[in-house]
Formats: sequence, C-alpha cells, structure tokens
Amino acid sequence: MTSAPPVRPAHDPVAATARVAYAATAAVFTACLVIQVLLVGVDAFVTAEHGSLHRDFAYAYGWLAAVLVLLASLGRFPRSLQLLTVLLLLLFAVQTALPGLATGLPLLGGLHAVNSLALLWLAGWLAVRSYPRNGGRNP
Amino acid sequence: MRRTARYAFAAFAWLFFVGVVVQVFFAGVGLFGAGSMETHVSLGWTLHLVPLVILLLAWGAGAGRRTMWHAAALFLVTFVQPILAIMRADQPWVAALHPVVALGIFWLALEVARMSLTVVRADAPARPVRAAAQEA
Repeated sequence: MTSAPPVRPAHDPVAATARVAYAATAAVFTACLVIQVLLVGVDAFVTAEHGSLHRDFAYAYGWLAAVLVLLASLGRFPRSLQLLTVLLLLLFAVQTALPGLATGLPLLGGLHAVNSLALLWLAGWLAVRSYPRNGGRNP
Repeated sequence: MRRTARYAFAAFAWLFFVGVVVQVFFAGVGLFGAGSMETHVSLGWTLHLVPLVILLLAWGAGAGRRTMWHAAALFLVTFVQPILAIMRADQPWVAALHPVVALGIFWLALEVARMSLTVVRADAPARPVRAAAQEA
C-alpha cells in the first residue's frame, strides 16, 4: 500500500482545488468514523440504546464517501488512489448493508465490526496520502 | 539467541494482530446477538498480557527505539482496554472509550507487526550482488 506512486502536483486550478478539498474531506470522513466507533461504546455502555445513535450518525456523513470519489477524479489523482477511493465507497456501502443482513444471519454482525477496521484504516491512509505535504500539494 | 528472539517477536506480533481482528469479530457477534459476549471477554483476557511478551521479545531481538516505543504503547493500551469495560457501572462515559481504544490497539498491533518484519529482515544474510543484479 505504501509503495503507491507519488501524488504529483496538479497544474490545473480545478484539479488543485479538488485535491485540497479531497484531503480535507478524507480527514473529516476519518474523524467521523472514529466518532462512529465512539458511539458504539456510548450505545453499549451509556445509553443502552442498542445502536440507535451509531446508526443515525452513519447516515449523516456517509455521503462524503461518494464526494471523495468525485473529488479524486476531479483532482486527477493517480489511478491507484482513485481506485482505493472507490473501494472505500464500496466498503462503506457493504458496512451499511451488513446490519440489515445480520438480522437473518447474525454472524454477519461480526463482519460489520471487522469491516469497520478496514474502513478506518483505508480512510486514514487516504487522508494521509492525499495530504498536501505528502505530495498532493498544489502548484 | 538473538535470532530466535527476532523470529519469536515477529510470530507473536503477527499472532497478536490476528487475535485483535478476531476479538473485534467476536465483539460484533456479541453485539448482534449471534453469540455470547463471554467469548469476547475470554479472548480479551487471553490477549491482555501478550503485548508484554512482545515488548520483552522486541528487547531481546535488539529492535530499534521506534519499535520499542510502539511495543510499549501497545502494552499500555492493551493493559488499559479491559479495565475500561469493567468501569461501565461507575464511569460509563469512560467505558464508552472501549471501542475507540480498540482502534488504537489495532493500529499499534499492525505497526508493531510490520516493524517486526524489518527486524527479521535485518537478520537475513545479505544476498550476493550478482543475484540482486539479475533480479533487477
């Protein structure tokens, strides 16, 4: 993963703006994922609401994953980073579908928890990788 | 002796990482009612002091300062983790940090496991120059 091609500076102003927006959005998305995990703890240990806060919050920021795909394309990031952004969107879609599927097959609930680790790792990696000082800077 | 410690360090580091992923799976299984939370609790206590072994093996393997700090941090957060869950009755908001700390353990466990491979590679004999050139 870390051997992905370097992110070259964009010379097009639209691409340059999209890159800054991508880095900011990826950081916000990662922070939202951490808050999302915190809400699992709040639901389990504080409110005993069995996931209502956790579930409602997911719908508040999930659309950012789709925005990231758009920004990755506009920012003309390397193909690998664009594909990994699509993978992030797919993982998020799977993540939101798993609880519903788990009502029929409860073991899928375990995958919901493990998938959250993959989501968070990938989101964090994309946020760090796209950060301007790490190669995604504007001209 | 040091060579054995290096391989043992890598083995324990990667096994612990896999254990953390399985532990998160059991947490999900318990929360969705597919099984008892007891499995999650039992594995949690089994993993509790493994990072201390990893830290000692890292020291025995002659790992660098950065690896040692990561291993020490891993030991610290893993030690605190089950104690947070125990605090649910008196300090529920502190207990709510339990899953967030799990993310920290996951990240540190992955970092230490990756660093352990570097320590093992340092132990491998240098390849002949001609063989390396042919591969390139």
